[in-house]
Amino acid sequence: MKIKSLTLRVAIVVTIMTLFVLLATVLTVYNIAANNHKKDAAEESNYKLDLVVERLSKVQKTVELTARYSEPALKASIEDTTAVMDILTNIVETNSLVNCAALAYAPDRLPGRSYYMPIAANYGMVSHYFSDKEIHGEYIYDDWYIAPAQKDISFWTDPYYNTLDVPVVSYAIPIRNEQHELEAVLTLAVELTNLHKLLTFSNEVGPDSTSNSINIILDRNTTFLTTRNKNLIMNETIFTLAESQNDTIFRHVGQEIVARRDGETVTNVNGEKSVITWRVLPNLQWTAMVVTPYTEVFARINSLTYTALLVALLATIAAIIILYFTVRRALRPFNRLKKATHLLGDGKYDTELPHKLTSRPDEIGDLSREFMRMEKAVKKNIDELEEERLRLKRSYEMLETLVHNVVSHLRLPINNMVGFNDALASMVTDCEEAQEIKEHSKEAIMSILKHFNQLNEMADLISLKAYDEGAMVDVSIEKFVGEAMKSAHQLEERFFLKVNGKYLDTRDMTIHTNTMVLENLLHQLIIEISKVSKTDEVDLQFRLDKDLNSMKIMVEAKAENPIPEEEKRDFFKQFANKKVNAYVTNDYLQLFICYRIAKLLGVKLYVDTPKNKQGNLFVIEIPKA
Amino acid sequence: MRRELNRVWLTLAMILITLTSQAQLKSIVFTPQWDANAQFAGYIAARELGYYEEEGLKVTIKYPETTMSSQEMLRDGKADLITTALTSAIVMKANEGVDLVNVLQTSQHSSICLALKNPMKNLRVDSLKGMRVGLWYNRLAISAEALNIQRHLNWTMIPFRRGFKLLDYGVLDALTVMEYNELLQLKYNGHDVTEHSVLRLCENGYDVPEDGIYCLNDYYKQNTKEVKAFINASKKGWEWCRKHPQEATNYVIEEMTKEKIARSKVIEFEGLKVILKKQEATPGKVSYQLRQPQFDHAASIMKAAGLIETIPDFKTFI
Repeated sequence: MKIKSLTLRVAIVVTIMTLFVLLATVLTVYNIAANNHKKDAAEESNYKLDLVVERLSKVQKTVELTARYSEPALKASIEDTTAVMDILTNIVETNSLVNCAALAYAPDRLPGRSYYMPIAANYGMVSHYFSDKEIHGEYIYDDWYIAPAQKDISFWTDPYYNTLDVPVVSYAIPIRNEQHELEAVLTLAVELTNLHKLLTFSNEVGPDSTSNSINIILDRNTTFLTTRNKNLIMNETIFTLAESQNDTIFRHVGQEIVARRDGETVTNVNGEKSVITWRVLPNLQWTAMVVTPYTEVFARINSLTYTALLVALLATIAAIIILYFTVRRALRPFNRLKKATHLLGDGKYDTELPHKLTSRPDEIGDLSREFMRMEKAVKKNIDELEEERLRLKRSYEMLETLVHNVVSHLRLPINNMVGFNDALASMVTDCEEAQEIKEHSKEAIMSILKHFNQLNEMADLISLKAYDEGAMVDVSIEKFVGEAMKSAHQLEERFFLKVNGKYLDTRDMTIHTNTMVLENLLHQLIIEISKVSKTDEVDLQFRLDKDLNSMKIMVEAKAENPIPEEEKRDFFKQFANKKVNAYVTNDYLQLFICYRIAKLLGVKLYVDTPKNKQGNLFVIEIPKA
Repeated sequence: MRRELNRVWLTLAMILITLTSQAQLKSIVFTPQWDANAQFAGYIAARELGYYEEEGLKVTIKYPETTMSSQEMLRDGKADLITTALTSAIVMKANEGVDLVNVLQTSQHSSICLALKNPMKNLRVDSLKGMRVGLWYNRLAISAEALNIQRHLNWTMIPFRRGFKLLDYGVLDALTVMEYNELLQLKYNGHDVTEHSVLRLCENGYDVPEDGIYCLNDYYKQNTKEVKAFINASKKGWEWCRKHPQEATNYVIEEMTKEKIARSKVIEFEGLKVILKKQEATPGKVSYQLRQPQFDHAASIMKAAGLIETIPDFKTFI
């Protein structure tokens, strides 16, 4: 679809460009905002991870210091189980993080007791009791005992279920005597629920905190220790989740954690695309992880984007409207110029452009001023031409009058001459003499007619000249010729048309011609006729019928299908002046026809009266090419 | 009114019949050798699906306590029927003189593996020389002990209760694991469980049957009908598991939840598939019988390792 309106086209182009600019702006704003929000989200995650590390470190240090400070006292009181119990009770009483403090004696360390373990517990209220094999089994096979005993180091266990089926983590230190023999293992247990409470801090991060993010702690093997979904805790690992969800990204995260590498990734968590950030905690070798739903990370970005898009859309619509009207307003002068030009074309040379248009300092003002200048110039030229035309008209009218006068003045002498000639002929008895008189008279008439012809030519020339020069003088030659012929009643009513020696019509007219002009004319005529005839046989007849007081030029093609009448008429448009029949009178028809042919052919026409022959011969003199 | 009275009588009669039938069910205490897991899926399924009741039994599955193993519970009369490894049963019979009989043999192949802390290229038995190896404190991996002795590996053996964390804690170089349990735990806890880290005893000349159901000979003689009913129901339970592993895993997970044991459906489902495979004497064929060649193979290994002095008579064992 081609848009014709320049206003619309300019508006579309400018709108598209505006859209590009807006789009680029929105994208830039989006990218900047996205990067900022991503940074914010990353900072928020890192902040949470920092909090986890900080709080766990605090727990770790508190428990470790408690154990360290208690160690000398326990070592000193190792034989006194009551004193040991007091120390353990004091630990759980003074340290709310420690839910359970126990001293597992090495087997047979105490006389008569293969297994013995004083325990102080604080589950809401402090209790203390002694445990042995019957109650606790052979605790020497438990990890929390084996590890410090075997490796001789203080040691944090991964979470495990204690004898009360409560998931706990323990800090255990070996207590050895001066001979470095293992006397007991001190273990301080912290319930996982305590840690969970400590790490539920999403509301503490600040008002911009992402409320749906999940804070997770994993043990060194990626087992869930704290998370929102309780079913995962102590049961599932990152790897089992990866397996159940067939999630390779999860598996990769697990491998990274096991390799003790920090990281960040994006994957689906509970069917929701989420950003996962994790950090391996020092010493404990656990991993803190923050899972933030992608939608939440980008919620603010999306909100900003939607706002930006809305603003861009509204701005675009506004821009389109403003641009349309601005361009339309800008192009209004052109419309005025267009109308003015149109009026100028219609000949209204007094069209004025508004002053505010012509007085503008810009290009439109220049164009308007040039238009006005052009209009003035055209008007001036037209006025001059009109003056010239009127002048010519007056000149030709004078000439016409002159010719009229000449004809009028000649008519009477001719008539007189004819009358005189007739009278003279009737009076003369001698035939030869009469004939001679008659011939002389005819010669005289012929001579006069020659002058007529000259006058005709002159009138014709005047008419043509006047026409060519735009004077529009109607010099009707037939009028003069007709008037002249009224007196020449001897005019032959029969004449012939002869072309190249052939008589095309033997009845009415004879036109002596052997020139190429008429041949070409007839040849062209025949070609035109042949175009509608399937054969080359065409009868061309020039028939001049004075009885019907009309001229008929007929063409008959001997074709299988006759030429339609309308087409036949069209062939002779260039020959037949439709006005002819209306003006031609009976007596001077032939002369008029000859005149018309001569005029059409651009040749001279004159009337000849051969000696010793009746009638007149109308000669069309066609100069040789 | 009369119609309502009839309904009341009918309801009461139904309750009475139910109570009577419950009272008529023979009670059996069944103790597997380990905590609830896919290893005992067949028994859990049989109980949940009512197969034991259909056989006229009221079976209580009582898992071993921290303080007492299944063998001890059988010996002390705290369990009527137990599951244990063939090697453990042979030791009980040969060394401790416990007159027990094998009434059903589920496992036909060894599942015991040695998992290494650090992977080794071209891992072979000899690669394990001088290692600190963890073995279950209740001697459920006697074939591993035999391997250590027979191949002169000189392990420092550290008995432990359960799990695999001692590997992570750096206490052990290797530890015994079951292919259907701890090995999968290792796998899903980020450990390497390829041929570079895992040595399967069944691939190293120690392919001896493991889990079987045992009871004291006296108990068997006195309750032959009930024991056989228990066996039938248990077999049905295992066959159901074979056909419905997913549902069976669900039963196992429910049981583990009830017992407050760490659980993962992924691990238990995969473990069940391993267990069912180990039950096939030949590919696709399950016999539930202890065959003498297998018994002799296991006993001879133990005798050669000096773990038993005499090989018990197979006829008295089944």
